[in-house]
Amino acid sequence: MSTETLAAPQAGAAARGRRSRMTASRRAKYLATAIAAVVAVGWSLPLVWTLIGSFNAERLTSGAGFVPSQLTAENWTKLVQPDGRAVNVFVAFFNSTVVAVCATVLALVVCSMMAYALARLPFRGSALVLSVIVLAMLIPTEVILVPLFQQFAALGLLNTYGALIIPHVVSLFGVVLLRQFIANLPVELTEAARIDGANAWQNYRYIVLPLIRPGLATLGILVFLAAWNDFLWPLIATSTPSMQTLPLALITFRSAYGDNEYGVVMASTILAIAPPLLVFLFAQRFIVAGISNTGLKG
Amino acid sequence: MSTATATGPTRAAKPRRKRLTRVGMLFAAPFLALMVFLWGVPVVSGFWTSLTDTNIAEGTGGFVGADNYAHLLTDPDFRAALGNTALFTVLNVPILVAVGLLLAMLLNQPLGGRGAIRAAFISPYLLTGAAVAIIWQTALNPLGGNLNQVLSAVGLPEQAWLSTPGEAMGGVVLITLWWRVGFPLLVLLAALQDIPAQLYEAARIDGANVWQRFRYVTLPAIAPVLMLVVLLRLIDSFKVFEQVYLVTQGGPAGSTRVVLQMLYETGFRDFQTGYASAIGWTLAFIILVVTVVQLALTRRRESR
Repeated sequence: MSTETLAAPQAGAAARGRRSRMTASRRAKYLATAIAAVVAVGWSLPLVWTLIGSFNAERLTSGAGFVPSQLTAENWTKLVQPDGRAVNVFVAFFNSTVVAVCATVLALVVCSMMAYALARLPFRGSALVLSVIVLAMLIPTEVILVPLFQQFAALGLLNTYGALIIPHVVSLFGVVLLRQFIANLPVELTEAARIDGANAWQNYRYIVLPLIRPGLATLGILVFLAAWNDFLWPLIATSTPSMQTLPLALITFRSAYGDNEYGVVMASTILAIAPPLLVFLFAQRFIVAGISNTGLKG
Repeated sequence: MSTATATGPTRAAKPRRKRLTRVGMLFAAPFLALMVFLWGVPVVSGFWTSLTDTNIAEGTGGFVGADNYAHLLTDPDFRAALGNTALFTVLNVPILVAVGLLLAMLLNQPLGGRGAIRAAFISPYLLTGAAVAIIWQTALNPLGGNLNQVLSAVGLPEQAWLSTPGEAMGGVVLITLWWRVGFPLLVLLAALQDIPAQLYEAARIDGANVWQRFRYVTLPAIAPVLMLVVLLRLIDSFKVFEQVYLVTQGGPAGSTRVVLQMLYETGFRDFQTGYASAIGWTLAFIILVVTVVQLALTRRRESR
């Protein structure tokens, strides 16, 4: 809106013919696009630098520059053969994949079942449960880090996939989101299925789940990203290098190579950020919906 | 389920209701069990621990009442960490929300290639804090980092961004802006797109200029969402950790050490579990107060 009027003061715009108004609005569009494009390119520069840096033959940042004088794939081959200097980044990649995929699948199942119960199968105390869930969203998870660690330690679950997966399975926001999706479905659908002899499980599995797919996609992506990117909890819950997830492995790589081979660090960083960016490329719509929904949950 | 029918129904409706209740409980059971394990028990046990002098390394664990909280009030380390967190919040929230709003308004224009431009701003939001820390530490490296090269190219002196006490917090705020702006951008863009075009048309006919249209049309229309974005960013800012811990390690000279970093170091490096729990609960209390105050302010605005 603002740039439109900058290009066409409203007093003159009304007087001029349709044709000049069209060129004025087109000029405004070009101007806005140019401004947005410049800012957007500036915003992506750090990522571009990282990608270029992973192919830069220069070993120190002080000599790197914007445009490398010589390109090499050596940084990437060092990722494959770390020569015992750091953790194997592919082990970390595997760990992250297992954790993020399992957490996503389990969260979708557990949260959608809970949401279905709250929306369609009210049980004794279900209203209370819903208010506790909403209230619990107010308490930051960071606050219970210490007792949570003690609990996992007492059960001997530290340094296991279980420790890395389970905390991501319970999504309070996910239950609230999916409950809303299910509550908005017409009651006639599930009622008709019930009259046709479908039990609660069949109703949930074959009627409700397919109809709330957009909600599931949104929640699934949010859980995947949270599990893939989590840093503090894996830092606390794992101590052996073979259980490290990618964010932890990146930091290990930084201390092993950071001082004299920055290209290797850049390569490992690209490897760690590629999956979320690829997910984004293919599911931009759901990510946008997911983030916008988070903002409107209150 | 079968036992419900065995109890001998007097009315037809009653056993079905009862059966439904049990089926509902079955569906809710996995989530409820996990929630009790991951949230219920830690909340209770964590609060109890905060009333003890538990230290994993020394093996102590006696009840000390509110001593930990009393100690926190006078602990210079905690005051410094709280001050740094508050400074970060005061700088971060307005900058993040203002830039997010500006970018959202820009993206709300008719643009060519809008999808690509939007993607450029959102993609950092999807990255792990560890990657963000590494990327920016390289860019802000005093020894030929790219940002310094830009500065020297335009004739400005190079800066030791992250190792100067006064500037390090600025660096952290800058990094956070780049990393997190996608959130306010997307939420506010959705709110802007909900404003009917007729409102702007009417304001234009009434002779309102750009600023007046922003002040009297845009701002009131997005006010509820704006308040919510501010609240969520406030909460997030109080919990700032990764970009500080991984970029400046709280330095230089402790000038960027924040509350969550202190909690982590107290609980998992020094093993003072009791004291760390008290820090956690104090942080939760602060966040709760901020939330309640903010919601009350919003409600008062709306009722006016």
